[in-house]
Amino acid sequence: MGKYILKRILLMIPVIIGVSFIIFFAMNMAQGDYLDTQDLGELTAEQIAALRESMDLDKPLLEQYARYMWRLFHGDLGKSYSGNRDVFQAFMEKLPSTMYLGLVASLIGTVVSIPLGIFAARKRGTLLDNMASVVAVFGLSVPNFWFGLMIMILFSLKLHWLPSSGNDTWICVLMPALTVGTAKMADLTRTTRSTMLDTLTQDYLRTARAKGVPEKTVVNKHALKPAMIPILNVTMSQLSNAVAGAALTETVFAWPGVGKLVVEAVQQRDIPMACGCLILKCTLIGVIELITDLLFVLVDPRLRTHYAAAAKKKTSFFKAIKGDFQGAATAIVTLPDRIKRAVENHRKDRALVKKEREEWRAAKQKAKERAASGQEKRILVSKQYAKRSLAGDIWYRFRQNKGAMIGLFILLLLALNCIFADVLYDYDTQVIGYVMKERLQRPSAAHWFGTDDIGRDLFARVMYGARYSLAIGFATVALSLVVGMPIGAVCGFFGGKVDLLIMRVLDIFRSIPGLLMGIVVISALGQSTRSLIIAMAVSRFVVVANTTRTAVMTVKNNEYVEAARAIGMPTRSIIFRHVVPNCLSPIIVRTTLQVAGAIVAASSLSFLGLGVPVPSPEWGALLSAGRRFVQSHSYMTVFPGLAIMITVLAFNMVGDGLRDALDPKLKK
Amino acid sequence: MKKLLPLFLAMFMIIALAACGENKPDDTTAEQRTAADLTNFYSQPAETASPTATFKKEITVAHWQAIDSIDPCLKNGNAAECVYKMIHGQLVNYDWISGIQTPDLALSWEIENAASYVFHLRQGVKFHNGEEMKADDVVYSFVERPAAVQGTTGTAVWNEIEKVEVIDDYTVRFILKDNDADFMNRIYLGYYPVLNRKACEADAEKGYYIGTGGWKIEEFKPNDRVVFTRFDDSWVWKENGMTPTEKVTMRFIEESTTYAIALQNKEIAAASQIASVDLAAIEASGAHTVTYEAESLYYMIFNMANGKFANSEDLRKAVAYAINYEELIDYATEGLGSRAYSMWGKSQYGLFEDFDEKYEFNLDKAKEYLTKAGYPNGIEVKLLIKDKNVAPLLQAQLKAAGFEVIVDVKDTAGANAAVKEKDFDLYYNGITLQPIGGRFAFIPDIKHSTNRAFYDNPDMVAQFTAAQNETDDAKRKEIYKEIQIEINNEIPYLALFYPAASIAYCDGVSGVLWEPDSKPDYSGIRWAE
Repeated sequence: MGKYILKRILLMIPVIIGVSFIIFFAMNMAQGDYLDTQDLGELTAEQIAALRESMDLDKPLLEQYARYMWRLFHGDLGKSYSGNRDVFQAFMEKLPSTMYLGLVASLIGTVVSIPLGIFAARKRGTLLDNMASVVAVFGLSVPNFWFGLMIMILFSLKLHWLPSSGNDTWICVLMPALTVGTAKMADLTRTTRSTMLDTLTQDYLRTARAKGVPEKTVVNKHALKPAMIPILNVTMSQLSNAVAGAALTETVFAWPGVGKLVVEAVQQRDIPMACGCLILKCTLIGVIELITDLLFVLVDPRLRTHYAAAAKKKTSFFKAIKGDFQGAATAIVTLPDRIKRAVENHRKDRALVKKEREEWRAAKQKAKERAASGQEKRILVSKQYAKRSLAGDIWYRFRQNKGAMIGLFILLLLALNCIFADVLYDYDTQVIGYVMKERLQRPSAAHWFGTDDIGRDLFARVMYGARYSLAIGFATVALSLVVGMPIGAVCGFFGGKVDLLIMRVLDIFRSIPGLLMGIVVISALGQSTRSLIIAMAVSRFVVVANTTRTAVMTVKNNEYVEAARAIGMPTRSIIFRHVVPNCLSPIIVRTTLQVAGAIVAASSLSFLGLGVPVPSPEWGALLSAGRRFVQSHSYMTVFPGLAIMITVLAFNMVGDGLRDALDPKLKK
Repeated sequence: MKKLLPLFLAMFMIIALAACGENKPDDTTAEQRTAADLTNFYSQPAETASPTATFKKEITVAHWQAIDSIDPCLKNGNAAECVYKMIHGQLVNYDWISGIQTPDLALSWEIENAASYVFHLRQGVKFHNGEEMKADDVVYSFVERPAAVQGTTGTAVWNEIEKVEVIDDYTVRFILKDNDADFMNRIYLGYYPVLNRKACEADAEKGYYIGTGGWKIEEFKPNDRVVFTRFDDSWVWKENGMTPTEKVTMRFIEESTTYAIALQNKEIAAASQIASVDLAAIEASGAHTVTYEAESLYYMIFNMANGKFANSEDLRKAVAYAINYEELIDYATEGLGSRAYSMWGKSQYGLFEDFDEKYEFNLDKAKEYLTKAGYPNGIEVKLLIKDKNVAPLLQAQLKAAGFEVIVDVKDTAGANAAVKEKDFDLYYNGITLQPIGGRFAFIPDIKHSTNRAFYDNPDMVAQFTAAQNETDDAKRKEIYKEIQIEINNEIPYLALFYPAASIAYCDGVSGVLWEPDSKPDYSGIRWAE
């Protein structure tokens, strides 16, 4: 374990190099440098040249980077371009308030979410479970800058309970912490609920109950501990996120944190400040991650073997690759036979299903006739026992879940709206056409959702905007799943050096806050919907990889995995046929949250002017544009917010339904 | 039903929260507020409270922009100048109403010629460290320190100074490299303070904190706040009477809704750059607002180097007639701005607006010029813009005339880089103005980095130089008139509108000065309890 800790500390060095490399070159890809943010009209050409030289901006990029790294390895983070400030000092000035905000946000999130998640799992399907869904949906579906403004108006302006901004007194932290903590509260509540649901159906808990152990002890002592790994993961990630910086919350509440410092540095192309702050953040996040992994071991000692560098390797990654190649060669050679066998089996299955269906229909008909003739009580053969294929079975269980069906119905309506949007709404006159005389009109019969600041019908814009928002959400998640799941599965299954190395690479991406990564990527690629999707996927695939890794780590030591190894099943098959399907529950939960998160994240980038290009009516852009009017014409933010929220809820309902339908344990 | 309950409850939460924010503005007041209501007074009298009133000792104000440095050699701009006004003094001040300089650290001055200026300094002026201001400090501030501290800004005056001669302890002569009739209208700016040589040489990090102003820096937290404490030995209080305020905290709050709420909550005494949509809510809370004509200008730049507008005056005129200026002003300034016909500011020396051809909204004329330019079926153009909010309106207006506008929204760095690469056809931009006649000397100078239209007119450059050398007032104004007529005819730059600015302060607050160049002066602020 000691060696592992030392290795992790040493591996922070390449992570630091990786972060500085990405930020340095990505910022240089963006149009303009620091001097382009300044008004140089009064300077002579010689003065401008001298300034460029003093900032190394006249040198080739690689040389600039090499000089920067040389200074870095001598412990010098340099001085910012703007204001000539010492980078380390500037960061340390802001860090205490950021840590304070992060700790309070984590505390709020944890104290509320974990008990709520446990109760929701225990009272599945009841009012309490639904209340937890309310918290989840609400926290996820409203962008934090809008939520922050709303609670500021409520608690500060209307009720006079709390100061509106700043950090003069200890109570100033409450609103920003609530803003930061609310979105993650949703994540944590749902993750706790999901993992508790998985654990509560385990056989050993049934044994405990049968032995007369009180339910409270069953839950808190036996069920909670195994569920703690994913819960700890999300809790600690809250702290990491806070350190990474809640830039928008800090802007709304004028909170002097590192998040805003870094975002401003990126926007000003102040490379020393941006790189330096990110390196320091990355180091701090690395320490938090290390503490998280140590806590994992405390909670689940089985994971000790996962981390031990010299552990008895159950599986060697490279041997597994070799085995996979051999397996693949065999599979290719035997492919025709296997196809023939599969087709034959499929035909037999179909014939069997058809026969059993006919028998069932005949039995049903017979029962009807008997009932009609009054000879016997009508006996209906329940559909439940009809023979179905696997897909049919899943669909059947999904259909039993009314909430999931409602969610699916909503999504279908949205899909139809998107497909027929051009027919339903005239793009030129209703969606982007303006009538200044009708600007800022409140909802009425003529304009159901009112009009915006240049007289455009808000209803048409919200409905048409579904196209953009859903496309962005789906595309982002699809991209992050395709990239993140295989990475996470490999890391979680093999552990050891493979996990260590790949996770350090992911640490590089994780160390860069999502918003910041978005700013950097969009600045580099130019503002467009495509670059927006890529920007959001780049920060999200790490979450998917991490979730998959954690889930696989929990499952891979189960007996059926051992059994599969024992019978000589290829590693690839073990991972993707036995391990991943049993890890789908948290992945599905996270994925549905990710779609929602992507839609909301687009609005955060719109807040900074980096969302979809004008005049696209994307929901996040509508929300961001409406924030100026939050005091006077709040309907401009209500309807886009409602649209996001309904979509998020629908995704969550479908996600819950899929989770239950896919879980083999819940067949009973 | 149970599954729908979360949906309804969450909807209720969102609507309830949003409804809490709804402030039904007084529509009557909003309709009545027009450009005609703008004040042309720039200060709020100090003596509004009764003689027996007590005043708060500590006041907090909001500042709309974060500042990471208060070194006058490194940081200029309206935001930083608000800080300089508190802690520093300049040689002269500027009266926006009369348009003339007023004494500050210099009691009087003589203009020997357009390249030679003598200042007689106020005696007995103390810096915050107790040192007396002398002529040597002026030499240090205007020559030595700017040469040593390489900044990106504030160099117009420093670059044109040949030398500063010390005549005696309280008299200096500025000798310029070239004639500059605008010199006296430049040096009032906040980033030309007189610093203390001894303090700056003793402490390179914070020596420039030491000034002659009525306030000294107690604490500066970059991008967070500045805390000032009253400097009782300042000449300012001896001249104008001591303020009862002992401490002023200037908090940097960038989100306009946040400082509007803080004002309504009386957490802050005053704030400037109030968004027009928040004015009604602020007034409803009992605070006062003042809206005034800002000394700024919004204008359209045509790319004269390459692309579609370069050699087509007809195409530029098509744009000039296609823009619905009234709608644009209504939208961008909530109806409080006013139409600009010249690139000169309202208070700028030599303004001329009586053109033969004034560009007003006329869609038929726009289409006519578009056809004349050879594009009867329309043309695609790229609009570079930093303000995302205005973009859709401009796009729609130009579309009506036949321009297919691709909007390219960029931040400042991206926009300046795009300009350098000449990657735009139109560029919507704004600029803060100064009272100097030569403010737009960059317009025809192809070598000037601020000439974003890449307009090349050597004859006009010569006219600007001639104006700088001209000491006869009438002749100088005549030169500027000819320049403005030519710009109006060729329109490399199209003036759009002058915006309005707003400042707000709580009831009982007085002593706030606001100036058209959007730099509020809180040095005399007080708040009656």
